[in-house]
Amino acid sequence: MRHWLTPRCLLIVLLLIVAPGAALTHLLITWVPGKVALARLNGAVKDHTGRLDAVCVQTRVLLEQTDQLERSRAALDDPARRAWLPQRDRDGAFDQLAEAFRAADVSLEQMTLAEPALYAAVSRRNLLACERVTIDCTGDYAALAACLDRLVQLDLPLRITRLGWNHSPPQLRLTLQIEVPFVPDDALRTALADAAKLEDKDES
Amino acid sequence: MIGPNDRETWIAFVCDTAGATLLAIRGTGPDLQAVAQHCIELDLDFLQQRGRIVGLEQFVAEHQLTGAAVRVAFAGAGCVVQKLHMPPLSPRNRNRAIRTRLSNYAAGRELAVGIRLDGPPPRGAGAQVLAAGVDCTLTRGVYRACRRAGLRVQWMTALADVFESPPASGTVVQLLLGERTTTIQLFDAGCLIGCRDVLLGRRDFVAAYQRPILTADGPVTLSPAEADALAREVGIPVGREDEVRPGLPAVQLWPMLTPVLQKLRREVEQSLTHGQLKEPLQASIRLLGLPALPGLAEYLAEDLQLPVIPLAPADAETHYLAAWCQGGRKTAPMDLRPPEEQFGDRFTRPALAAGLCALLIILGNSAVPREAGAQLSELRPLAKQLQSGVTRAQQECDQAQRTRAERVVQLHQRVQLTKALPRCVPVVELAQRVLDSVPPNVELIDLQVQAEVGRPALALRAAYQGPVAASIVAGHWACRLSESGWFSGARVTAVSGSGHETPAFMELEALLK
Repeated sequence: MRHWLTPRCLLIVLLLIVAPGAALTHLLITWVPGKVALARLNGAVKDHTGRLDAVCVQTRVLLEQTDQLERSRAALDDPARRAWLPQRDRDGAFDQLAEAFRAADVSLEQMTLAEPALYAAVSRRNLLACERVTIDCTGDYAALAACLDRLVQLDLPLRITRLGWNHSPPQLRLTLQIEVPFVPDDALRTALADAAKLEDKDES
Repeated sequence: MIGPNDRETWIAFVCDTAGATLLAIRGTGPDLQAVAQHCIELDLDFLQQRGRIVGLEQFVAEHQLTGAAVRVAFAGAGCVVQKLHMPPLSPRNRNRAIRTRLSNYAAGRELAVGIRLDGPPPRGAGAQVLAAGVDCTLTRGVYRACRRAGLRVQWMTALADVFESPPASGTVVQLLLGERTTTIQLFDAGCLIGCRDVLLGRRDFVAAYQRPILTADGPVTLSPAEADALAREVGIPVGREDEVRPGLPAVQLWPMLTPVLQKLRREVEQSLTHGQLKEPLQASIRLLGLPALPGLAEYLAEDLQLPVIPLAPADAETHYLAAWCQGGRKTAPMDLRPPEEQFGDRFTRPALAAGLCALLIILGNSAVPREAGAQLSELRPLAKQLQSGVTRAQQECDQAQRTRAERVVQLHQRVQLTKALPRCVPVVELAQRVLDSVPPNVELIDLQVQAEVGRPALALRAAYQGPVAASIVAGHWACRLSESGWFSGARVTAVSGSGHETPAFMELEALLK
């Protein structure tokens, strides 16, 4: 056996066995982790791409739904704007109503603003309040008719609940009770709902 | 080109367990010549222990042969050459079987075995194999000694393998006369069929010449140099009756030479008898050797009644040298070097190739992962960016979904609230219509429109003075209101007086649709 332990034989064995082994080992410790990292990265990219596709689909659906909603909202906004005020505007409503009856031949004898009342309700959270304005004025027929026309043409959602047309010569008296609906704040909504003893119900 | 060139020297190294003959060869083709010859004793134990041959280094130094190529041939007791017929076996099993067979004839625990096939065997048939085996102790020792002496071993083989068949066809007995041994080769149709080594060589003839020779002047004893010169010049004095030296007739040499010649003759005869020749009596004798022994072939041919292939001594020496230089050989000689040296030569190139491949793989495999790592390091931020983008998009999508849900709820509430709005009565227009519908002679005193709670209602109070009865006018007025399309019904609630002379008061009530 000792005859084989020559430098040449040892070098040959080294080259024949150890070198391919080293190359294989090097291959395993470099190529395999690289492959694993690449596979992980590919997996992550695929995952992200899939998620991105899903998000894109959802976004597209949402955009379509948003468009529909926008159209619905646009369709509803105009009637709603004419149906009620988006929020309480006590002074604004009062001023506009007073402006309608400000005429030379009309004497605005009384104009009162009562506490807000319940206008319409679906549930405790979905309700409308209203300002209740009582107007008492006198004048001739033409002036009062013109006031009524201005009242009707006001850019203010309102509802006339009572109209009194009293002719007691020599003058004509017009009595009006007007409600101006608006969306109340939370405190007023709660107070109105409690006063009306409304119950919560599912609106979906 | 046969032989070394002018600047190179080849050494023919004939070796057996007892001694070795060194022959330095120079020249090319017909100019081949032996420039030096030396015989050395071989102590195998010394060779094995020290790895050195006594006298070899001196021979090399004396003739300035350092770096010369050595061609070693083994003969004698340490080497066995057999012609074997092997059954059809795989190469691996055939080699094992040959090694087992040769170990019966050769000494030593480990054999260096060389094999030569006589052409590829037919499928499924056995093969004729010329196999040679030498004790590895001898080959290893000679190899190490040559390398230690500064020589380069080209090949090692059996002496019988160095000399191929003579050009003559038919059966040929070829004698290779060495210093200590004579190799008897039997060729049949150019194919070696038998081979044996006889422990009888040129030195035995020289020793015979050194015995006392009876002459007319008394017994004469030749010195070793004189005996060697006589053997070289005279050899076997076949057919000579003159004096080979002054006062030394050729006839007086025969008593000393006859025992050696008879011994050699017996060996040749035995070889012919047991050589399984087809026509042993037709065999031709050929003698090669350096230096040649003139007349030996003629003596044996005459004694054995066999034909001889005539070769002049110079031609015999030239053929001998040419055989060492592989002249006309078709195949490489059998390799009897130590197995580790064979392994080294056989696997040096594959090992270098494997190492080179491994190096290339490692280098290439190091470059690719570096590039891949660089690309990965570039891709990782992109992947993170993509991930954060996806996450952000997901969050925005979720937020948009929530907003959409809230808006849907708001819209739903708004729709419900719109549906729940109280009924809106065009009070002003209604009053206008009522005022327009007042009959002649009727003065509207009071108009009250109640649209707050319950069913919207209209209350009228008017005064009348005219020719028609007030009740009739009130009735007509109620009918007109009913037919106006605004009211579901109208009725007269009170009428006071007829209205002919004093005003009558009438009250009407109408319910809106």
